[in-house]
Amino acid sequence: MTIEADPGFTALVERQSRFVFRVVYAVLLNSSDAEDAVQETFLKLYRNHGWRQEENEPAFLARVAWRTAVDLRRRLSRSTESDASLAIDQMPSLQPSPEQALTSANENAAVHALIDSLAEELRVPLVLSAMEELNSRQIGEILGIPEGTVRTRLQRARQILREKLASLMETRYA
Amino acid sequence: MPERDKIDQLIDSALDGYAEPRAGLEQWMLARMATDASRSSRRGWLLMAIAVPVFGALMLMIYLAPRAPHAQPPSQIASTSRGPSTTPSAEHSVGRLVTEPAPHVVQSSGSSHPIRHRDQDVDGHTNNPVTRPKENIFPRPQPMTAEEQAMTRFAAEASESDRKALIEAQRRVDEPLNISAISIVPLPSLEDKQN
Repeated sequence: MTIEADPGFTALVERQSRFVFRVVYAVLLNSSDAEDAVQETFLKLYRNHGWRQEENEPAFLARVAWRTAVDLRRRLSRSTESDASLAIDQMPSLQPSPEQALTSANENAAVHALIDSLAEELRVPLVLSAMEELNSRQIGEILGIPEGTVRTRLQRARQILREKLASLMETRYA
Repeated sequence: MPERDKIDQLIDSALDGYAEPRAGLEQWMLARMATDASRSSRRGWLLMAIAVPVFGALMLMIYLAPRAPHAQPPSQIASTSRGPSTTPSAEHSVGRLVTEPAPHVVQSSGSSHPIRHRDQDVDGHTNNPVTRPKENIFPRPQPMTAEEQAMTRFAAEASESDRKALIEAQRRVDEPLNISAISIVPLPSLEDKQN
């Protein structure tokens, strides 16, 4: 049976693509790589029939997606290490910095840039916590860390964002 | 703290819109996966198209390859090497001896020497058995050659003394030749001659 001919799987992709995209984006910070990771996640689920798991679907999907994204990032970093285009990383980013975004009144973009600048161990729990389907216990299961650690990291991430945003706003309105 | 509340609201609203994929991601993803799946399926068929004939050819080669003779229990070897058997399988045993490698000495279990198997030589090393094609029809006796016919006639017609003389002549032919050691005496030198 092909993918299109499987209505259950098609419905799953339509229902959870955005959710999976957000999980993998939090790891990869790149839309193109995140799309590759989404595809890889669903293909993996389709091949091993894991998508038929009905119990706690969001947590299960998030776990598979997170592992797929981590694997993909490892592969990508291995291939770029030997790539001559490594110098591109040293070029100035085309995305606006938090300061630029804030001055252009695009506050959301400024916070997004600040989230991207967080360490991964803080960023991923923060992004997962913003998804209504997941609580601290489930995030801990997905990332393989205790629930208490998840809460500590969430508090720490929010604290950093608050401090940086306050600093930016002071600069802006000074 | 109104400032802090405002910042928290800002963070929450930004998190809600964080990592928004492009519009139509679901359909695009389905189409992409279908393409990849059909490509990998085609690759799978190609692999099968190569693997199946190769496997078939290997199986055919294994089936058609000459088979090594089966191991024979020592007791059966003993019965075949002691001479003609009186059992109903005597003809069968003789027939097997023809296709087997060089015969080996096998002693009874009461002997102090161990039984040497047919695929071992004197030193106990294992020989590779010579594989010979198995004949489907037992070979029929061939007509006697001219020499054999002459020998048969001689055995039937010759007298006792003639037969003994023939055996004696054959024995002399088969006896090893004894050649005495050659000793060469050195020639005397000229000085010895003069003295």
